Amino acid sequence: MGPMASPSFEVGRPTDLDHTLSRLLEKSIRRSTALDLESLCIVTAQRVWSLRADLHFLSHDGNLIDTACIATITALAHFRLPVVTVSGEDITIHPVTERVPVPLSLLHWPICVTFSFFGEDDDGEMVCVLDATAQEEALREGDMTVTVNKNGEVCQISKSGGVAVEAETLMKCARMAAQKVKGIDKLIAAALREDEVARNKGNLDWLKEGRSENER
Amino acid sequence: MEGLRNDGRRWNELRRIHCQLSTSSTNADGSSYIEQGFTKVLCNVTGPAEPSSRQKVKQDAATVSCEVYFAAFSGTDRIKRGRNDKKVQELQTAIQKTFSSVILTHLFSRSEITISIHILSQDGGTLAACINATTLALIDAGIPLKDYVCACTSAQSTSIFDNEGTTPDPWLDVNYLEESDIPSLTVATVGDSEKIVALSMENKVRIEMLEGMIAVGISGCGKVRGIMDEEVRRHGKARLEAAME
Repeated sequence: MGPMASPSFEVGRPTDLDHTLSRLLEKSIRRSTALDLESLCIVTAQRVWSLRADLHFLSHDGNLIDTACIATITALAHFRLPVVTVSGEDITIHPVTERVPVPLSLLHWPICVTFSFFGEDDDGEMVCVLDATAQEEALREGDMTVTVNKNGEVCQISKSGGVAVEAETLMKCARMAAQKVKGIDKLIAAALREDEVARNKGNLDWLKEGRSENER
Repeated sequence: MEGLRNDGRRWNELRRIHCQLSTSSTNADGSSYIEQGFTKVLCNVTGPAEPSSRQKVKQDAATVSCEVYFAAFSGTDRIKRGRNDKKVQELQTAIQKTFSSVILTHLFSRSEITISIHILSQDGGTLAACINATTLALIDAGIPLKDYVCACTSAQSTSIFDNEGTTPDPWLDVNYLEESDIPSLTVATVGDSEKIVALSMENKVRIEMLEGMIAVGISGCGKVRGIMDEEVRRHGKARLEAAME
């Protein structure tokens, strides 16, 4: 997170937002066991793959959390791991040109949805906004991040401080998040498919063969 | 015993709560100690005082800062948690944000209120105990709050004796064993308004279960509030009587 994204970010000084972001992503993706960690094991108790996701924010106009989460999930779904064969003591990592690399085994796609609260209106109804811009974020009185997957499983909820909200409103938000996630999930899937087709123009048979998942 | 949890409680029973005010009155403006089952937390509040650094000065309101210390012996394994530990920092931000919105900060511009929390023993519901302890310490320090902030945990048991396909009752106030076993959440409410100021959940749970868990959590917050209020009144009365003599 550098000054390129927003002039309010300084170099080398992690802000509160930094901590919340990395903690939220960790809770959403790692603790919900979205990634099957066992599949990253090469030799039990000896050799494992190490995956690292680096996020760079190019421009900040609000809702960094949701964007970061979608980006991470898409990257993980797009990532291909080189094939490894183990025979006895020997471990061979096949280069990409030799064997078609396999995708990671992502069990589900947890997606963050952040709501911003702006206090109650004249009728005592809470004003809540989805996907706030930077300006709206600066003015909001409270926020809540819900992480849901398309199966309707809530992986994480965090609302710390801010304006006090009725439980009913929070539940409404959670249900709305579950709805939105289905759409976002489709968007990610479409983008991935598009990329796959573009990469393997006229060579789709080869692609099918190389995939670890098949029709069976 | 059917229908009882591993420590012999029913689904809607709290653990024993013991709380105390002015536990270290010489070195803090307000202090408290709370035991929820075997979770033990000590909290000291200093301020409103001059901010420790220039950055913390706000012209129109007081800054609330929070420090959390885990005792190395507090958990089942001996773990030393430093200042930069992620769990520590998350707890600090959660408490700091929660109380920034409840303390009437606009009354103390250009000053700082420091909350320092020592976790002596962990047995589930650490965040909830920290929030409750902080509320008591702030009351002891005489810092104006909107109302009590009370926190409680609840969990959704995936019951084995569930034949009719109905979801079993959520459990109130989980202990360490339950917390590591089944999905649980922490909810904090302001006063008796049943409005949620903080909510945190880290496990995967079906969205249909969520509503019941939150409802049970809120009812627990109400009970916790009653216990805390009783102690505050008892302490206040004792102090008043001491002053009269």
